[in-house]
Amino acid sequence: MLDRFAVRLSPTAPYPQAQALVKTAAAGDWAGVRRVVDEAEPQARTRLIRLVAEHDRLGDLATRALDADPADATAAATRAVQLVHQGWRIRGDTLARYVSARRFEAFHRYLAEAERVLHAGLTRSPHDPALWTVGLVVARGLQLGLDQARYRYECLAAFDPHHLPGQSHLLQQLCPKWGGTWSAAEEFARSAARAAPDGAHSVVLIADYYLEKMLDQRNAVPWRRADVRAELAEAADRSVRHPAFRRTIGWVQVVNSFAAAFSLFGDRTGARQMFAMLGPYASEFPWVYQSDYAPAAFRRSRLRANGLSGGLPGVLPGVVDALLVAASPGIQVVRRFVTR
Amino acid sequence: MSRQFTTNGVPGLFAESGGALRAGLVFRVGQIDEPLARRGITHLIEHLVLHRTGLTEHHYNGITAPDFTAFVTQGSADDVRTFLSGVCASLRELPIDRLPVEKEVLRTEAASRERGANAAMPIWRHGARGYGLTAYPEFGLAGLTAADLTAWTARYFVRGNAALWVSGPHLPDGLTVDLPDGERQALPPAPSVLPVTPAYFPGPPGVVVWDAVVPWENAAVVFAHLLSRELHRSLRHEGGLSYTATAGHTPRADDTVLITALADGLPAKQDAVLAGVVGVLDRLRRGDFEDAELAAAVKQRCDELVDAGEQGARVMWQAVDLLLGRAASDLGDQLARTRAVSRADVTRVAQAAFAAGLLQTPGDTEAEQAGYTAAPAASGHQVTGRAYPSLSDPAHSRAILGAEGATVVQGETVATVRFDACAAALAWPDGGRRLIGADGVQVHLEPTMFHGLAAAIPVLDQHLPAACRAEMAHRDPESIPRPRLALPTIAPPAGPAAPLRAPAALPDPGAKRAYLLNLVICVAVILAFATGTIDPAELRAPSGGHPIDNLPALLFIIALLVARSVWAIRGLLRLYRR
Repeated sequence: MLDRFAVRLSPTAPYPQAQALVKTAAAGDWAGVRRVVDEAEPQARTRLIRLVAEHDRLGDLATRALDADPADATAAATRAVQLVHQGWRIRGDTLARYVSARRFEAFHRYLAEAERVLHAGLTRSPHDPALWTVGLVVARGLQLGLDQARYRYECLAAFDPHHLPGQSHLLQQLCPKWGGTWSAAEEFARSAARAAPDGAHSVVLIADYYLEKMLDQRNAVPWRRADVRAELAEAADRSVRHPAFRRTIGWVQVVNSFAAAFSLFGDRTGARQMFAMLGPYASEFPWVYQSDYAPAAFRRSRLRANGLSGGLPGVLPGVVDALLVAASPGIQVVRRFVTR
Repeated sequence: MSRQFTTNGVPGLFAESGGALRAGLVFRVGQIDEPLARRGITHLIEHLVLHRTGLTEHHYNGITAPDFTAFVTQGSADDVRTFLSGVCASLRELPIDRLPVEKEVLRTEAASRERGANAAMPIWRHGARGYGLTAYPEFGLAGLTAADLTAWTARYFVRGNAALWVSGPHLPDGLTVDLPDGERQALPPAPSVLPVTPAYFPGPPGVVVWDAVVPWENAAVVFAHLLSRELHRSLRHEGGLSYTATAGHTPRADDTVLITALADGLPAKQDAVLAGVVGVLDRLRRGDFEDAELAAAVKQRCDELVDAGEQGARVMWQAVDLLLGRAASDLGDQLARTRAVSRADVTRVAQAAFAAGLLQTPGDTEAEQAGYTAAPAASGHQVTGRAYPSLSDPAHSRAILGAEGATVVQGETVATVRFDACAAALAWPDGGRRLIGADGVQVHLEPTMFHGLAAAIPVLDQHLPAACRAEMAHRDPESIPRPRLALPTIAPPAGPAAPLRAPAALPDPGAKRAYLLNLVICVAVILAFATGTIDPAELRAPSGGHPIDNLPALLFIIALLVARSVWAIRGLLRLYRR
């Protein structure tokens, strides 16, 4: 009942398996973590490693595991993701020119250490997609350039051609904000989506590409174009609306991306379907593109898609959404100055 | 001079000469008859046979040539008789207990053998068939069994496939050659894999090699001598570019002759050496050479023939001719034919040789403009099947195993071996496999080097034709290749790097206007209350008729307005900060 009113942002919330894993990690049981992680499919494994590594209660578990067994690729990937996460927290999310030189130096120190861990891990197990995925993030943070990023992605694709976490990172790199071009990003998103099998998560790259472009050029492009909407609908038919779509780890972000894209491009039916699929589960990306406080953007889009009565029984959830959206400036102030 | 005789059904040839008594038993079998997977079997049999002859006073030797095998000896009449009967007895029953030792001996012999500058030429011309086989190591050694050897001797070392020659002051009595019955074995076909000739391919730096296969005739041998003289004169004597600049000829059993030219040079001058070799070949094919040079070449060839005749060396070749069903040529006759070789004959051979030529250029030098076409260095197609990415360069290299063959892609280079055209599949006990196609293309499948390949090796083994599989000896674990990932690393940038643009929420363009409007309205209302423009007493709550001029209600309204204007001011400040 509560789920009809709540929005759950925690990345582990939709996946009981991940919640259990984070608990195992917090208890310091590395063998248990590794058993669960290594049994997962490559994509799920990469996402689980990220969930564990970015959890505040991980501590130095990965470092100790890596010291104990330098050949442990899971520990190497976890440690590298943790370093990247810590480094990015020091740097902050603001634009580069507001980051002080000292913070940048620390940020680069963290990334260089992550790169060192990656190197050691990759020379021992060059076939680990999770390591290559972190490699893409590090290459982006250290500004190693497009060639380096493409090389790392090609290495990743050789072992897992439809590895969405890595593909998302490459798409980021191919966008102009990281030194790429829109045409390169578009071409990559389309070709990767086309190559993916039916029902695969990777098709979401199309939606992600349009969200990125929207963020950058919201006034420059006629947005509610029919061809874009048709392309998005086709992409959704091939992935989230396909019978073969599986709710494996990472599905929440895929559906959220489609929901955001549908609402932005004015496809209310599509958006309503996506929100019905999602229930209470929101993901940080892509909603942070629209508001500093992701749940507010999520609620606003949900309200727009459903209307006040919506597809939900009763008018109450819609009213709650409306009230919370209206109150979101206040909630943000509280979040910024009180809770954080 | 020479006369023919027959011993136990084996044709023989006796040539009278001044020197010691020499004899030899020749068989029509050699390296070109061996399947690549059994490469070395004839050589191994030759060694086993001669082992039983043991340590004797007299001189003896075995020769395993591309197209024939010979056991030769020199000594007294008794020595020759004993040698021949010993060889035949050994061939009937090979000393199999000696097998492991002789394999070791052969391995040592192979290790000490040096690869010449022209080692790769036969593979480029013939692939892994016919005369191309001579360029490969003895892959069969480790896997050859007693049964393989017995089957081989029963087929090739038989009465119908042998010839005997003797040279010396007299033909000894009572020579017996007691061989099992069997038939003459025809030459295997020796097709060329070069789609177009003249062709070239890049070889090691510092040396130019050229060869051509032309029909055997006296003019072809004279041409080889002339070519050698011209190369020496042009490249060493006049140009001073080369130390070695020479040419030679090797007759082949299929009535052809292989003419090979070689010129070395410093890597800095290799382009001039290449131009020199190509230029000499061009001049000869245009008939642009001195009569004196031709006469000198003819004389050289005649001297060579006479020398060989005096030393009794010609008789072995005559025996090979006999074995191949050719009329044994008489020395006088051959000398006359050689002397009759004219300028037109040599020019004709030079043109044929140029057309059939294969050039090994030093390093990556191009030879296109000289009329040579690049020989295909890689396969044109890939098999369809599952890909196994390389662990040292996953982005660009992979192995592909399919139902019809295997492919290794390394960057731009594609090597494919189809199972139905597989000459040999070398199989190491640790799982390493090397497939060699009939066209000479190699696909090296190391389970350590490709991700997931180890699990696919048993499936691969099922597809491989049993006949082409060659078991290899255990490898030293150190010599098994290990992947080295090529990950270009970075030095962490010092200090602050160039500005990054992180993904963050960009401000709405209409936000500034909205903030200002909020601020203006709020401030205006507050001012209106403060100045008395709005009288609280006249305002009524929407629910009822009560005026809201009491202090708590007023303060509450003012507080809301102030909060809204603070929020707007904060938003404006943030916009400015960006």
